Amino acid sequence: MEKRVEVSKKPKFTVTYQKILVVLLIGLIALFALLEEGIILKPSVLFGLTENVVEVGLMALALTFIITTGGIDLSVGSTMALSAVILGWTYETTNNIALAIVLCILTGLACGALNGLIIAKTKIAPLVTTLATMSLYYGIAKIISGTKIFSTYPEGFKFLAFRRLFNIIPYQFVLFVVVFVLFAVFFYRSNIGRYLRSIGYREKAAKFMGVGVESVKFGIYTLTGLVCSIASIIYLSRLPAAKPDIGLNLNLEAITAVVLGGTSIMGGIGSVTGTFIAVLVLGVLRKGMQLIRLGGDVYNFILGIILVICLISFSYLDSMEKKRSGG
Amino acid sequence: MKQRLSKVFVMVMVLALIASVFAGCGSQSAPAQNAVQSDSKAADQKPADQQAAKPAQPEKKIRMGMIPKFTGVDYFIACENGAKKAAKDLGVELDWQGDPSGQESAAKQQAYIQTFIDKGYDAILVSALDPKSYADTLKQAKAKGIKVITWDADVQQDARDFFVNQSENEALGTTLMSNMGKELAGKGGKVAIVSSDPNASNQNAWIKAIQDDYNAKKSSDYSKITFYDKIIYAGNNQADADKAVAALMTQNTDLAGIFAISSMAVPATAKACTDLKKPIGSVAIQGLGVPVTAKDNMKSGLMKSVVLWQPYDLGYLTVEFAYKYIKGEVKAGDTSFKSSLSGKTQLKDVKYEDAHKITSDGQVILGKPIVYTIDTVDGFKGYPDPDSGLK
Repeated sequence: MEKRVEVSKKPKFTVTYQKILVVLLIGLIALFALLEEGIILKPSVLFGLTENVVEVGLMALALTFIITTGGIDLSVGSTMALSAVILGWTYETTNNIALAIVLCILTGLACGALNGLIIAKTKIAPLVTTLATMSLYYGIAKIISGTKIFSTYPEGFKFLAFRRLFNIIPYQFVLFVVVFVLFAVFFYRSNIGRYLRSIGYREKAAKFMGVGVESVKFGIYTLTGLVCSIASIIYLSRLPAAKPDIGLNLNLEAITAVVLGGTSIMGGIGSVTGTFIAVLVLGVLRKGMQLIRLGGDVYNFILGIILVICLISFSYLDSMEKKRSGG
Repeated sequence: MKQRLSKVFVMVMVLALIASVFAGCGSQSAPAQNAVQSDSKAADQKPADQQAAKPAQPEKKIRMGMIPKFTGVDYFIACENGAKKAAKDLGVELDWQGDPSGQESAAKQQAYIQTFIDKGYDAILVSALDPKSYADTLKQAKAKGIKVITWDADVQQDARDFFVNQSENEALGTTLMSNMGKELAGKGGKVAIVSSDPNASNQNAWIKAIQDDYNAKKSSDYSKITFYDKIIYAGNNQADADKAVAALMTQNTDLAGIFAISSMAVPATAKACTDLKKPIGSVAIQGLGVPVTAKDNMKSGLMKSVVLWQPYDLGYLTVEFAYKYIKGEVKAGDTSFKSSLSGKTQLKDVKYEDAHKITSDGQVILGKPIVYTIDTVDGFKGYPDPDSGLK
């Protein structure tokens, strides 16, 4: 019902949809509170559950930019894993944490820049490009680590994961909120947001309007690489063991969050706020399913259903849109 | 701006709602927590028989959370069936959670552990994907008085109380190596090891045990055997394993033997031998994997035997041990543990010893490794028939 309203009055849609998401979020929290003796309402649990979604959430924020342009990045998980392995490896060999962090971030930037370069300069589809680099980055991480897990880090490195603001809010969640605010400002308050939407809506038209499509594309993929390396630092502070397979399946989770947040996989429509709320919805869903003892198979099943429903409804909306503008 | 204000408003509403519900819950949950605390104190101080004589709070079930490496494979299904049987026998509430093979990750295991801590379970039983990732989380659980017991695959020693081990690593390695020696007696040849992944702590321990046994008798019994210079990691899903082993055997046509030491590697090796049309008997396969999956290959003569234990009993022992540890019937420093499996059937006529050995580093040993042959393969418990362990 709500969606049909959207088609006729487009500007109201994002607001409505995000409100639905917020209601969904509250509803889920209330549901799980009823089902499992209110455990989820304890501040330590409610805020603690954000720990598990921050890495995916950061990637999802960056992916929102990419998906708004009609692109995709499947290599986010591998980029994170490679950055983590580089960090662990550098620290183990040089014992210099500052150098390790710098190299980790440079790795993320380089991975993202390579994606951006290929996608902006050639006409190879982002899906294919990042599918290839996904294997490439994973492979490099595997070659570097071999049979080792890098698991020695300085004590202070755990700061992000095991300390909490006011003893309640995990620091990585604070960081996530800060990054979200930055992304939201870029997306809603600067020209960049408009560029992204126009590229996603009709790339050629955007080019004629004078949007530097190539540099925007290069920029957002590089930014995504950077965000992945930050995610890897957060991951390692929580789970101090860098190995190549830590990023497996994260791309799907991140894309699910973006699409659930109201960004169209066809491009042209995007919502950073939606992604932010969707990440929290997924976090609550995951925690709640675990609390009611259905964490494994059933959670994965529900994640799949959410993705399919979102994709179908967006393709439906997209065809409606085309019919309208065409006729 | 208007949109944002409305959003802020909604958020504030959420927080208010949460706060009000939480305030309502607070008064209820506080005495319950006290009760748990005094209960555990009682368990620490009083001997077991005294507790049994005082059934004042019969509804207070012991609750445990149990995590496999991954779900949906025959090995862990057998473990799950055994663990659930033990939970039923002992009246324990068992929460079994894990991700299907291919979807599993240390981060997800950590999330389950955190949930079990949040729920205030009495014990957390985990088969670890790697020994280091969530050691800190397990230490937090220990600090809250939750018993942490690893089973099947261990974590670093200071992060757990006990490790319920299927068999002593040396015994497994020696059994595999001596079987290989017997099968290649006289002719010898090049052998390779196929493991699951480089971080699997038990596989690594068995590899070391195989190599130690080989090095000890390199110049005598195993003088004609040489090792392929690399260890093949076949991964945790069947398709990857099939590819890895097929590649190994295509590149090394002269392999005389393969140690397939994960439940994925055994069927993968058998498949590669069949696909490459290796004559039966030309490659000696020493498998460490679920016997049910090797049954057809044993019938055809491709494999003579498979080494394993009873995963069903491993699951059973883990829950029973955790139960008795919570009850204070076994404690750190004990050197043996008598379970309801002790002295009972392990496989056909073979029986478990009268008590399980507890090593100085806190490993509870299920028993000796079992060599399954075509005659004894049906004695495998817990899979595919979940009730087969009851017989």
